[in-house]
Amino acid sequence: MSLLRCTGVTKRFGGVTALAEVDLEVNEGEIVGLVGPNGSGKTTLLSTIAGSLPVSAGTIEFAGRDITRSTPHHRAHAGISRTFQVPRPLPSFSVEENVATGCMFGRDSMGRTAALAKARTVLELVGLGEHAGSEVGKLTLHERKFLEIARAIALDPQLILLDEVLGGLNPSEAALGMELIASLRTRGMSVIYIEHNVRAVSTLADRMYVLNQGRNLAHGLPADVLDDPRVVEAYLGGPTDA
Amino acid sequence: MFSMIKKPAARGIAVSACAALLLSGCGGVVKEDGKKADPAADLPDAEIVSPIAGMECKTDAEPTGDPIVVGGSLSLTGPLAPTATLHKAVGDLVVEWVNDCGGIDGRPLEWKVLDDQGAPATVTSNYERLIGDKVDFVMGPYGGAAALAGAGPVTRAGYAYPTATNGAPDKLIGENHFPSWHIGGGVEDPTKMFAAQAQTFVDAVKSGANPPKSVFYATSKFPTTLSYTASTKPALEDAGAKTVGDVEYDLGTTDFSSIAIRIQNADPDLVYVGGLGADITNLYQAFDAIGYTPKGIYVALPAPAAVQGLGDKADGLLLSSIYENHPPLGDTDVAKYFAKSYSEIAGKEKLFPLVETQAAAGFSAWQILLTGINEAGVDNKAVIDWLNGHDVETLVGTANFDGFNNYGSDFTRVAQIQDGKRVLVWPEDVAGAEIDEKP
Amino acid sequence: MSVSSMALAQTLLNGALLGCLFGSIALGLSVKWGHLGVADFFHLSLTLLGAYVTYSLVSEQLWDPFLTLVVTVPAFFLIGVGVQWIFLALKAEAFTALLITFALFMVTESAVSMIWSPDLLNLRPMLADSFTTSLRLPEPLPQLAVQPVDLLALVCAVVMVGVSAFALGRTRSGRAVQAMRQDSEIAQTLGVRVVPLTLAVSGLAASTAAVAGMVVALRMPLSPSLPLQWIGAVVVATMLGGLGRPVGALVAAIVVMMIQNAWSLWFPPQWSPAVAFGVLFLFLAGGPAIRFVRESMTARRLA
Ligand SMILES: Nc1ncnc2c1ncn2[C@@H]1O[C@H](COP(=O)(O)OP(=O)(O)OP(=O)(O)O)[C@@H](O)[C@H]1O
Ligand SMILES: [Mg+2]
Repeated sequence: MSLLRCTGVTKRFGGVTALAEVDLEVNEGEIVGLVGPNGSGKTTLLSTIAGSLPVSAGTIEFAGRDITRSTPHHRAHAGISRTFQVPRPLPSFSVEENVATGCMFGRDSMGRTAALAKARTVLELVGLGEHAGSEVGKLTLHERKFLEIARAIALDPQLILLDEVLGGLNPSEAALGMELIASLRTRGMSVIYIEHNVRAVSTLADRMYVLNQGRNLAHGLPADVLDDPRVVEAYLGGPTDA
Repeated sequence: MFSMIKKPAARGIAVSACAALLLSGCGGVVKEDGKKADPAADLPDAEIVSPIAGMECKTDAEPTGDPIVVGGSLSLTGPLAPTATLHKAVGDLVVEWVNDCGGIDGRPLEWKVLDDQGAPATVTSNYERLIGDKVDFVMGPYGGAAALAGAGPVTRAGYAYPTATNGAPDKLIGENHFPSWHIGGGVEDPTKMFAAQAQTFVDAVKSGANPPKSVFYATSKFPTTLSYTASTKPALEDAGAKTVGDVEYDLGTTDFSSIAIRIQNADPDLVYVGGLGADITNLYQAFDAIGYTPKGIYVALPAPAAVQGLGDKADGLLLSSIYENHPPLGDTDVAKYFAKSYSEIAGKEKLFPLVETQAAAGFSAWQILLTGINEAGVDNKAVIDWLNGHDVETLVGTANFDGFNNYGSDFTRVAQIQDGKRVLVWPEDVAGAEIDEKP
Repeated sequence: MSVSSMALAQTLLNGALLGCLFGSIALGLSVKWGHLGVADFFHLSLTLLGAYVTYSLVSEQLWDPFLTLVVTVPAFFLIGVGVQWIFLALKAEAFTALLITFALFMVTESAVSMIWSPDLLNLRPMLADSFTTSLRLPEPLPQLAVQPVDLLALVCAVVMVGVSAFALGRTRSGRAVQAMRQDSEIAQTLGVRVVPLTLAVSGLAASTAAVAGMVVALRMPLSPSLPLQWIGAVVVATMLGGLGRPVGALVAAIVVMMIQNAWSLWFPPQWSPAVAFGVLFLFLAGGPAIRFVRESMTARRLA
């Protein structure tokens, strides 16, 4: 069953068209990979789904309802949460306070004490249990990226939007991350997962979409998409891990 | 989320309310007889009479013909507005009065006021505009700086310049200047301008049973009050009153707690407050806070409402004044009619309802101008010449224009609050009571 | 001039209590400045307005001063919401908002002089003697005096600051406000309803002005230009206390007023308003200076 359906989503920044009539669909329980060269519009698409950016044209439906014009917090309450490509923790909150904020105001809102308790279990899940009380400024890049995931999980979403959460991690950290993403499905979440590394995506994703210069280039099963000559072309004919 | 924020706040309000109830429990916050008594309640009714000597009041004659227009500038808004509003009310009253009496030579009187917001530059341009509009006469503005700012265009155009207030009386205006508030007693040396009022004050305190032996001076940094203190301090010292403290404070100070503590520490026989406006209220507030009652206290230029607001605490307070509404000055028909009509208009404007220094000075300035017009006609040059050669009977006394800057005999007097009423206590010829000095 | 320790103690006590009143005013300013990013000078005007409304209700309708809060607190809440709504509707930048609040500040002064007359209004003569007569502290303390109204100021300040600090630090909504202040976009993606929250904070900050205004009406004679006299101490306290920190604002207000009062005991009182700014200057300059000294010492040690 379709959980998210984007139809003809267009986003213009002044003269720049970042997205041109992009279609995308996510079914319940699916992990969808979203790839494309730098500047192809992946983050922009994610932002329009999360409501951080209004669309210039097109519609977005979530769980059968048109959410094209909903505010970000409505979408958060409806069950969409996102991470940011460059982690943006709330700087003066501790690690657990960051996560607890998501628990408090997410899909099922709760009091502060309950939220702190839940935040700790989420942090355990992503492997940041021992950093619960730390200042966010003390975290390493990979820990910040995982905090970003933890905070998105904290909202208890139906659909989680991950923007290059594994970028810049070393192989063992990335492996941990892949495991974590795979586990989200078992927790009842659908995932849109942006990644530069096409190989990494293809091992995790049920289906994938390729964007190029703000347009749909190809989509389908990972194996089919990777063989698509247009995709190979878009990545300059080079090896698929750009 | 709304409710979550509000709840603690609501709780806070509840707690404050409890605290409030506790406090009210120990005696209540507001007095039972909360409403203020109206100090103008027992003014006698008065018949209309001519506002000036030498003119007849014809109540059955409607004034006709071209009006005689008097132009003026007042700071109807801005920091000087409290007192300027009073002068506006006096002007309105005088115009209505004159017209009720059939006008001047049968012609109606009209008064055209522009707002200067207390800015001297605006005062200058207002008078330029009025003179450009060919008003027949002008009335001075409120405030010393404003009076000086208006003097330029008024003098240049050859107009008579009656004024009611003297923030800077040592600045020369000229032979066309006709002040109603005489400071200086006809001295020719501007540096001695305040000597006469100082002497009056010293004589006043010496006339009582217990002249002060120690004085604490607290003076606002305002030209007039600084001049008052500067001339009074040596005069009091010569009279044997030791200076036990001397501080200056900024204009507009509201927190007097440190000054009050200094005064308490020195505990002088007399606190000489070179203050104006609400200073006295704030100072008493600070006295209350430390539970101190001064033995004797004088204030230079307090706002009447501020003194009234002190209630019983003001009893015995001395202040400078040129007029209070009681015999002998307040006993004439003109004074009685003015007092009654002023209390009505002041009530409407929410002003202090009794005639005191400012209202009396304002009215006297109009009396000077109207007498000049009545005697010499609608011609500024003739009015200037006539006034320079004659004395004018005004509400505050007989005005002459002989000394420096056309100041005649000094009108500064000393008043005291006795049994809740303002009375002149010195000099003897205008006093309504003797000075009361606590041992 | 010799000053007894008793006089000094009394001065410091007076300063601390007046500081409580200024702290109550600084509270709203600090919360709006720190959490909504609006340096709201109109808050001072609201306090004045609260004082005048209290004055009218007490002197003309003969209400109990505390009963006036039933009217002023909700009314001011709505005003606070309205003002913030204007900022949101205009999508006002911090500077535009500052200009608007400044304009409102000026307009209120004129409006107050038009409605209530520019003359001095004093509620004190109408207050019961038991409320205006100073209390002496009990024997072990050297017979210091306090006014009941100052105790009221203390209670109001402690309650309002305490509740605000608790609400900001410990409640769910307080965390939402803090999240919003740090990164409004992130807060929204985490589900925080930024618009109603902003309106509510502004409304509550304005409500505190109603309470502070009541204390002002009981404490001092009213004139339309009073806010100009408060602005120095209040802004300094807000900044010294750390923007958005209720307890900081109160403590800073108390300290500044104590210093200011103690100063006027020995030095010319006319300089005392400048003392607040002096303290702020020392504080602002002191931080970098201490850092500079520390750094140059470390540098020398390393060299
Ligand atoms: N706020 C903005 N204002 C103007 N242009 C923008 C803005 N955000 C993105 N763009 C432009 O939109 C296009 C798509 O950017 P976007 O960040 O979505 O790409 P991306 O696929 O996420 O790239 P990357 O792989 O580098 O993260 C780029 O040309 C970018 O410059
Ligand atoms: Mg991107």
